[in-house]
Amino acid sequence: MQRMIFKERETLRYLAKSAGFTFFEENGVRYWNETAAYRFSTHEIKKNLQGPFTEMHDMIRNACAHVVSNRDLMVSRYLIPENMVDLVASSWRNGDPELMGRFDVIYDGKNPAKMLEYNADTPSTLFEASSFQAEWFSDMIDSGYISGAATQFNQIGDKMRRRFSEMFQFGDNIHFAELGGDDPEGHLTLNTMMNAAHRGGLNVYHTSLEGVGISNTNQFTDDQNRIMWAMVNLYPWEDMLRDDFAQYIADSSCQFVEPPWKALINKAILVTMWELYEDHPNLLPTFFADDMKNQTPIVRRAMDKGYFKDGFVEKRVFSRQGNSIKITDADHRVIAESARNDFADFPSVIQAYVPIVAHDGARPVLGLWVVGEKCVGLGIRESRDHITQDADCFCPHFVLD
Amino acid sequence: MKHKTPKIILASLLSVSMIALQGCVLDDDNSTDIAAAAFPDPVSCFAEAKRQRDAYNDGTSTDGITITESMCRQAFAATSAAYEETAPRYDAKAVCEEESGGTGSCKQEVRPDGTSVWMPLLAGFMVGRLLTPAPVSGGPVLPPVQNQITGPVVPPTPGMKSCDPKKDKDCGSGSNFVFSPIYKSNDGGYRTASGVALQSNRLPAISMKPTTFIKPASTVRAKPIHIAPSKITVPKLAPMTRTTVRSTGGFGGARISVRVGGFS
Repeated sequence: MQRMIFKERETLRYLAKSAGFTFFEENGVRYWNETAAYRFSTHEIKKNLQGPFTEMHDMIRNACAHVVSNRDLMVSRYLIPENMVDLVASSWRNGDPELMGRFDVIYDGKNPAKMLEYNADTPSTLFEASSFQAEWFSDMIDSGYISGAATQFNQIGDKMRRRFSEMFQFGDNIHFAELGGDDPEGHLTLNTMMNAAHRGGLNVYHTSLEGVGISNTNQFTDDQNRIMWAMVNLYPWEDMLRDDFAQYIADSSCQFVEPPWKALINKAILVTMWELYEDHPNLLPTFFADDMKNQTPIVRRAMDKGYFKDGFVEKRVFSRQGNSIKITDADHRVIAESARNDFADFPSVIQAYVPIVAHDGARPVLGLWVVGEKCVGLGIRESRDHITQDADCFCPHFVLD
Repeated sequence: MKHKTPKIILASLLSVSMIALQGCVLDDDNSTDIAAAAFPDPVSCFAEAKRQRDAYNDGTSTDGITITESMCRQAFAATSAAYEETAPRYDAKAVCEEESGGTGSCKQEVRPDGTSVWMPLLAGFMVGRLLTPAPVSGGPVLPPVQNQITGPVVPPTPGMKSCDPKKDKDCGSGSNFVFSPIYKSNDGGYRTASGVALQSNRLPAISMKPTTFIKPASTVRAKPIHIAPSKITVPKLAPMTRTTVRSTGGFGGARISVRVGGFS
């Protein structure tokens, strides 16, 4: 793994604007940073990233199976509303199919990659990772800046198309819903998904989430009063389950993508993962804050093995975009804290802190994309700080031995 | 064959995965056929055993006895145990049901590690006795029967298809049987654990190759069968007809994550 310097394309501004990628820069500072790109070897992609994180996805599924059999756990630790437990559990037991997720991982090119968390419900950076970096790569090959022998670990768009065509029948009508209002990032993510579904042979319809109605037959309707039989929504399950219309989901005959059981994939699952797969090389020990305080046996084992020697990362069970995170060192002095703490009223988990190795002052976090049940692509974000927050930049990559 | 034999469709037409999974190779050796009957449950087996015994006792049948109550009891017990150990286990309910005759044909099993697998319900069992003698010296040697056939083995008595309880002390002992679980298959019929197609799970004794009774590999701890979704028929979604809407705005109430204005 190597960070390399590149020259920005002259066409960047034009390409970004015509793709609707209006947030490629903010206040003159590039969010999309193609002046740097990471190089990987085929071996390290396959052995250190793709393989382990395909396996990691299986492990997450096993953790879901484990949680779903425990109502108390679902309510008290996973924060599933009591009246929604059956919806979530049935969704899992029925085998409701999933579309995708993104593992956030730290990797230094030498040691096993460590999972920080898994975003399996509304993962962002989909456009950058599946589409925009693919176009950058193809331009780099065409212009000769990267050898024709190179590849990019990025089958995200193609696998999404394939997955949609497996989940539905050719010609099915699928709705895509997002909150109204101006959110270019969300819009681009949803558009990327709609494109993939369309290429997969489905008819795609957009609706605003607030415009979703409920019919006299207790089915969901779009903003043109049409019944929706399948809905892909860019809206987190922890919110959906707490909305007024949550009560109608179970009997709505509407297939949701992602399915309701994805509500299980919040930070609490990191704790369950460590319980099921203690000492796994790609995991970081993570515990509920109260278990940490009470020094339960599994906590003591992790402490004794030195996992927490560099410090502790406190994250909220619900939190996103680097919000509400606090990093303290082994002596509990604060190293870094999120600028925003919007999720402070939720319970915490504590994860072992592993400082991200800086490359030229930039700390990369690798986003490993899973579509269906395989890891199919990589997108990299960089931050100057210890916590990757939403203002940080996205860098492309290529694979060349 | 003296018995009326229903047509048997051989396993080559059935799902290849069943055969591949169980390492079952059909051979053409016809010299060691086994007469086996199929029953949906022990009760029907007992009824047949009683019918045969009564017919033999009052002289209305000269066929001898092929099924005894003791065989029914032991074969069903052995089938139940083999079922638990070797039933195909799938990682998805839809796949199991697709392979096993539709909705309601599978049951869920939760493994010790918390994962779930689905297995077809037991749809019956076959039970039978060896028909033809083992070859005498100089002839082709078959592999030892107990390695192939699921059930305790007694070497067959030469020349006997059925036994006469008055003449043969083993007859009616119920110890010399072969057995097999039966499952529903995806074409409306049934199949043995080894993948041989059966038109029904209720059949009088029919001639079966000994390979039918080969015990499949254990699936209790094995990775469950996984079939990619593209092979499963996904039902077409209904048309999105316009309808009367009674209220809107029930989603997007901005409870938790939306306060941040972004996703993860």
